[in-house]
Amino acid sequence: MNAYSLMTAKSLAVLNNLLTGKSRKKLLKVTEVFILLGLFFLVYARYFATVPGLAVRTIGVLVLLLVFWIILMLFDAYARSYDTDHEPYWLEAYEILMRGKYENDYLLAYLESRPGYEVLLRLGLEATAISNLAQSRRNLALVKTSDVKDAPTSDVGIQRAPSSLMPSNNAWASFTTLSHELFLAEEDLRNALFTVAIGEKEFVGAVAFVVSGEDRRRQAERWWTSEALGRIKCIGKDWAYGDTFKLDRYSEDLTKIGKGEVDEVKTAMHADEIARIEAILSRQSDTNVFLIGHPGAGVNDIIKGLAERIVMGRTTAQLAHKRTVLFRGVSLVSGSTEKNVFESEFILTLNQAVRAGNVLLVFDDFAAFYTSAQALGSDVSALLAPYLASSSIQMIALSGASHFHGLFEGNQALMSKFEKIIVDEPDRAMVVSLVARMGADMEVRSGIVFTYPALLAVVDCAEQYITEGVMPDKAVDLLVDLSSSLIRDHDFFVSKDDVLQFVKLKTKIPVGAIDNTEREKIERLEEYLHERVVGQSEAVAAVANALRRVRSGIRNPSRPIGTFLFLGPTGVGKTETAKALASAYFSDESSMMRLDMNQYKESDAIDRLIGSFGAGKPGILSSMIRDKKYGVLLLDEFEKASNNVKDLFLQILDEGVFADATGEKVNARNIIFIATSNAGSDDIFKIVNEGGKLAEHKDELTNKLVGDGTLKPELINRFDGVILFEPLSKENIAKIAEIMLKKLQKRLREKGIDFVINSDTIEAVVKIGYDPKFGARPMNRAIQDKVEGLIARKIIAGELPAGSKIELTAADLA
Amino acid sequence: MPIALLLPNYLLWHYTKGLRELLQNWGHVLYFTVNYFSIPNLLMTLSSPWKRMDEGAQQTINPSAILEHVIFNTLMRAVGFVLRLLTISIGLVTTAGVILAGVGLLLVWLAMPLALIVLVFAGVSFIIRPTI
Repeated sequence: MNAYSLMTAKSLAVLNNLLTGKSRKKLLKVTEVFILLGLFFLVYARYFATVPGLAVRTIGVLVLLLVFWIILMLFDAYARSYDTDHEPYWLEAYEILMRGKYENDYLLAYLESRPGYEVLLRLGLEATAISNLAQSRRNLALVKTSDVKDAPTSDVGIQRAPSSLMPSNNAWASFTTLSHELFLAEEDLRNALFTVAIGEKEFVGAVAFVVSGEDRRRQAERWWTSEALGRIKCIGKDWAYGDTFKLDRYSEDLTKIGKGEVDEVKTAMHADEIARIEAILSRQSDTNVFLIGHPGAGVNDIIKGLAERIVMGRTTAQLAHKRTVLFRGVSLVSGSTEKNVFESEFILTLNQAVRAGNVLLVFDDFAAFYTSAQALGSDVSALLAPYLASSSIQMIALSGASHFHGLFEGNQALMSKFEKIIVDEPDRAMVVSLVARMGADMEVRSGIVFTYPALLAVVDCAEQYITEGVMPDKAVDLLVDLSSSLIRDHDFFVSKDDVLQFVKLKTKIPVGAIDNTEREKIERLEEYLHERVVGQSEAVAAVANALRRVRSGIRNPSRPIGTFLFLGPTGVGKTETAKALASAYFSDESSMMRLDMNQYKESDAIDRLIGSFGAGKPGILSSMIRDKKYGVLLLDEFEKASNNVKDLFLQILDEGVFADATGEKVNARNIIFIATSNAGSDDIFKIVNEGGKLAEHKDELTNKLVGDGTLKPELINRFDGVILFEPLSKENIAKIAEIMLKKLQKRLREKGIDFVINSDTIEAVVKIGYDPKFGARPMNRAIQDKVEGLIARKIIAGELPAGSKIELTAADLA
Repeated sequence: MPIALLLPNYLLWHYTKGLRELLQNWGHVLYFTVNYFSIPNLLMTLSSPWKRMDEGAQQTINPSAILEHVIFNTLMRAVGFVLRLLTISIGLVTTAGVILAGVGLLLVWLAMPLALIVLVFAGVSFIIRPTI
């Protein structure tokens, strides 16, 4: 702050009290209209009116109007002049502090200020809640005035605002600092925000969002700054350079992109990369760049940002007159039928670019160009070699990471001429600021108002539930889809719930508020599961709890929903539990995916699971999870998979993501992994037969699995739970028999036959179908052979017409 | 009296920060004008061929080919020269306009507070005594 800041603030506060910025602007417009009308009237008074002196009087009025207009303009310039030196809302911060000091309640002053009110609205607090909070503060102040002694002084305002906040020595707190201090000091404010689930981080973010929005509004008005003027394209700059008619057919001239097409936030996000490219391109030799990264992660934004810097004359002298041209080589290849045609056209294009003298050639998707030329039998790197060696033209090649590693990294001749720059996905804070910025732009265009938590939810949901694409692109796409949907539905105030509902519709993943049907389903999940799974209470409780954790939103979002290892003998319900879970919670048994891991014990197992770059084949596991982003994945006989496969799952179970053969990330964080194994079954039988309790022997059993090398200890530790399945008792088996027979009963009822299940039938099925070693597995066969066979014969013999009833006896089943 | 606080502060701004910013912004517009017409750039390349439409050095000793080459290159340089000179001229006239407008604005700015008072008196007197 300069020497007279405090005095200026006081003076501007006076001006604002007389006329706020908005009123000044309105009044200016009205005055302009009057001046115009006055001019028309002057013409009338001068030539048509007969009243003496009318024209002169009109001139007098016009002069006064002009004076008024000039004064308004000057005051406006006076007020704006200080905006550039300070953070937005610097004057409002002063006013809040002064009013707070005067009324002894800073929070009330904050709530009644324009930016303070906007911050709270942006955080999703209802207007009524804000006015209630303000009212409660006013009431408290009244109590305090009437009885100073009893007043809970610590509750009223930040009674002693830290001296750093208060205006002194020509300095005082910025709006951002003041807001933060108020949040920390004011319990009332924190409590009000707590009701809409807002904590300190979100509050600080919303303040930054409101402040930056105001900053942009101010910048947009300032057409006379060097930045704004610099964006206007000059004439005659490229007259000393050649035209590139041929190149223009296959490319886009990035110097012609208009204002607003280059996003400041995206460019700022990649300022380091842009600076590095400028440094490389400005060198004496090896002045070519290989830019590696996913297009959605900002590679194209970097190039556009660079082109804009060159246009605005903010770059190095070596790049000052460069024309950034985005060359789409694939369209050149697709227009050529033969190798010779392509090569001569490409060489002519390059020669033209060299001759033009100012072309910075950017190869869009260099890998696609390279491979499509290769398909014609042409080697692009050999064609480019002389140009790269002579430094007669500068190039930037854009490529995804996987293609770079697969196609170019090993090509020493080519890579020696390029400097590589890797573009990483931006961090969450960057994505939030970008999405906030895009949201603010949309607000201007569409009239939608986003709350800050809604914008945060867009970022989080894109990260968590949108599995295709990379950040920040997928967050931006989600925001765009969301706003079009909201405009269609005429919903113009966007809350966090709106975002979650939209994501639920888009991805079919249940996020957001839990409705009654779903609530009942989750609360009674164990009951649902037990309708299909007999016994096995520990397993059922473990998976049910995992799902409740997910749906309540308290699970770790950086891991899969749940990871379980089901250990137990064959036929005791391991697979059935997984199926029942898919059916009960995901409403569809087909949401269960299954991999028989004994098919992945050979050396090619990894290639089959995640794909093979060389063969261009997608992987079974990666495709499966991409197609079905949300569900249960059953890894049957997990212990039989090769060690490499187990190592792959070590990462998947831990982080919930893995890279497929092309290097693309696969998100498996919305999957429940259930690995089953019957390793250790003999020990389980032994413990149960000796009357022991399995739960007490869990460590002993898992240690044995580690000891005999079946599973590594770190892999076992990755599972949320190792669940032991008990061998089935005779009673369990009878219950299972009944469940299975009921399925048959249902099928027969559809044919109009009433099948009565009695104890004779159940006993017979149990007797034939029970095998301690295979659990309930032979039961199905027993029902098919005995019961279904018998009934089928009767149907064919015409003994069971529609409407008849059948009950089998022990003699029938003997 | 709030106005008593506002007016001196305004006047201080008018002749210090306000004046400085006026000059700065004038500088921006002036720089933009020179830059918009690419005047330095065009001066440096005044005699270059129009958009590099020249032909490279001839390998042949065929006199007619050499003549054709010389004529074409001269023509392209002439076209470039004329167009550049025209643009530079327009640019210089515009720049001069911006400079003059700036000087005018500066004078108006310096005289503004007093001028406003005079204008108020003039306006009021026109209304009160229209015949004088």
